[in-house]
Formats: sequence, C-alpha cells, structure tokens
Amino acid sequence: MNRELKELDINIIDPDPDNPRIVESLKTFNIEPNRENILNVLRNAPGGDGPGITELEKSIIATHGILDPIIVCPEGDRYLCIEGNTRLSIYNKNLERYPDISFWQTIPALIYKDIDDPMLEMIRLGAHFVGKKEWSLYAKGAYISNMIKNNAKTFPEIVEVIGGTPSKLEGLLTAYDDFNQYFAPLFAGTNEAEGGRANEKEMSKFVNANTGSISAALETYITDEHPKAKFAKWIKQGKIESAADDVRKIPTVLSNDISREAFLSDKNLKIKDALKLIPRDINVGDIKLSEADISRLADELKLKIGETTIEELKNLDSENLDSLLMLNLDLNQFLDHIDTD
Amino acid sequence: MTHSQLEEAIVKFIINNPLFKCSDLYISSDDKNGNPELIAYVNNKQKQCRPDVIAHNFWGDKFQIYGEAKSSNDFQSNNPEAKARHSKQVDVMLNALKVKRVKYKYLIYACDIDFRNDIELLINQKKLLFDAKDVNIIIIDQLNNSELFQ
Repeated sequence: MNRELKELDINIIDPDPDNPRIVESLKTFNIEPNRENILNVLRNAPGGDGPGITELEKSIIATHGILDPIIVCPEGDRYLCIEGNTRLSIYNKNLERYPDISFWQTIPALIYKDIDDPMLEMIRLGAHFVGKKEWSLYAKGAYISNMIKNNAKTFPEIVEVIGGTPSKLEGLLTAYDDFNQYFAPLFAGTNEAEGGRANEKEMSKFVNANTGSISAALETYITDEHPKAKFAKWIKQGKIESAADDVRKIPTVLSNDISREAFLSDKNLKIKDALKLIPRDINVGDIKLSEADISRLADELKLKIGETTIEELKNLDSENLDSLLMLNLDLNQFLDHIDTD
Repeated sequence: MTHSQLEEAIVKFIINNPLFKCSDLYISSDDKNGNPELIAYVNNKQKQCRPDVIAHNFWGDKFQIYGEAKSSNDFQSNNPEAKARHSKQVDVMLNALKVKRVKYKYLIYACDIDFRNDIELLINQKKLLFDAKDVNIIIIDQLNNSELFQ
C-alpha cells in the first residue's frame, strides 16, 4: 500500500460527508454537506465512547498537536479526511479564531494513495470499532502515580494532557493509592490456594468508593480503623460483590443503625442482604402516598432503588423508566432554583 | 472585590504557601473546573454544598483544604435565606473535615474586611458546636496583598 506521512495545510483537507457521526444530523436538519457545514456539525456531534470534544481540544493544545496523524486520501488537488474528522474540525475552529498562529495551520496526516472503497471501509472500521486498547484502571493509576512521584509531571500538567476535570483524575489516583495501601497487603504471603494476589479488577470498587456520598458514609461511620482499610476487608470477604450495585448501597446501609450494626458485626453478611434488614415504617401502609411527606417518600424511593440491580434498572419498562427520568429532570430543575451554591 | 477574585485569591494563597508546596498538590476551583458536591453527615443527616476550592495532597503527611469565597454581594447577613445557606455550607465543610483521616485540616475563607468578624464568629461557634477542634481556620482579608489580589 502506498502511504506517506506529511504535515498538510488544513485548508486543502475536506471532511468526510459520509462520516457516520454526522450523516443523520445533516439529513435531519437538511444541512447542505459543504466543508464549512460539516466541520460545524462535527464540532457539536456527540463524542461516542471517547472523550468529549473539549477534552480532546485541551489535550491537543497540551501536547502541542495531535499524537496520531489523521488519515486522508487524495481527491484531485485536495484531500479527503477518512479518519480524524473531529480533530480536523478542532484545528479548523482554532485556525479561524487564531489565524496568525502557525500551530493550527498544518496537521500531521497519513496519506493513503491508490486506495479503493473496500480498503477505505476497513480503515474506518478499524479506527472506530477496534481502536486502541485502553489501559486498565490499575495501569492508568500506576502510570500517573509514578509520573508524579518521579517529578516527571505535576498533577495539573497531567490533567491538561488527559483532559476532563481534575476531580476525575483525583478519584483514580486516590483509588490506586487505597488499593495498594489497604487491599494488596491483605494478600501478602498468601498463595493461590489461600486467595492469591489482589485482583486488579477490584480497583473499580475503590474508584466508586471515592464518590461523594459513599466516601462521606465510610468516613463518618467507620471509626475503629481507617475506612478504606475496612472497605478493603469487605471486598476480600466477599461482602461487596459488585462495583456498580453493591458499592452504592454503602451510604444507605451505614446510615441506618440496624443494618450498620449487622453489617459491621457479621463478616459473612453481604451488603445486599444488610440492606434488606432496614425496617420499613410499619405505618407506611396506612398512609396515602399523597399524604406522606417528602422525606418519607424520598427514603422509600432510595431503598427501592438500592434494592434494584443496575441490570434490573436497565430492563425497566418504558413507563417506569420515563417516570424515573422525569423525576430526575424535575428534581434537578427544582434544586437549581433553591440553592445555587 | 468579586467572588471570582476572592476564589482566585484562595488558589494563589494555597499555591504560594510553603505549607502546601508539593508535587502531588491537587487543587481545583469551582470557577475553573466545576467542583463536585461535597457531602457530609450533619447530625446524622446527609447535607451537601459545593466548595469554591478543594485542595489536598496524596502522599506523606496528608492535608485537606476546603475554601470558600464570600464577596459583599454573597454575604448579606441581614438576608435570612443567605444566612441559612452560609450556615449550611460551614456545617458541611466542617463536618466533612472533622471525619477526614488526614494530618492537617484547613477551612479557608476569603472575604471582604467588613464581614471578617461575622464570618469568623460563625465558624468558631460551629467549630465548638461540632467539636471540630482539629480543623484550622484561615481567613484571608488582606485585600492590599498584591500577591493574592490584583
């Protein structure tokens, strides 16, 4: 295959009008698929599973350009962008904004010459369906932690390259630290038969445990030892089985005296079973829903959702799901009005 | 002095302070990054607020800082709603700091000088109420300090 790597003037590269990310928008809103319109639509198109466009832009600025060249093929005296249309739109936007900055004038591009349609489709599929294999949470934590410890980069410098909010990276780094400080030592000196080594996949539980209400509940109600040391033991004992379903039950179980006492004293009691011990108000059956106060309704809804697995929530019928989504929207709107701090 | 200027002053105060100088400093301001909600149990009830500044380190002698900016527009002490909101913010930040397993805990307020005494009194009363004696309070009111305010 005839390929060449080159810095191309972005003004001679056209975005792909068949890019699946924008085809629907162009059709739905009856937008003429010219260069300018396509680049505009790309800037507002959803990012799929990858980082958002703002994160991508910040990362490009921080690394002084894109890390992977875009892929183009010649079309007369211009080029068609086969892969990397979003990156092209970011360069184009910044060139419009800062026409004198040479940084945005050219983009690294891999030029595929003599390319046929089947090969073109293979490249698109390869780029968007297979992509790069992302590191595991543990590997990401290890890499970033070492960078900071070796003074290679500071925390804010890493945030700039990766994009996103600092709190996301903070959660990852804290989880990596908790995993190594409290979970891995529980397996020291054990062999496979005795439980083997700490499974790195468990790190997602530590990531979830760093979110607001969960870490607040752990810090408030675990007083006899470090909360994360206790949390690590629960994982090893099999009391917390799922990162998504079980970890989020922690605040509800710990904030209730009966379930907390049972969960903390019985090393075989799983969190999902501890949740069932929370007594429901015996009078609740006698109260009309319309007469129950908001705090009682909220507590009941919290318990109901706590008892439901993510899988069951995903499979809710549309009426139930719509009700939950509308409640979420209404609550957010309402809360925005009463407290902006 | 605007809320943003006061918030920025807290960030500068932390970054320039030798106490907090370290390569693993995490600092996030609400204006710039949109801070996450801070949740704490106040008298066994979950309460939340969004601090203007959050900072801490990851290794060694750990510290945790929450920072709050209060401009004269923010702090109208005669308005009961505003008063209740500020009171709740202090409750949440103090209780969150109280249960943190770190060596040093700081609550930093940046405010106009006119409100310094009111704010200091409110925080100290709350510190006593919640028995949060290991939380250090820093109030930044040096509006003439060119290193913090420009």
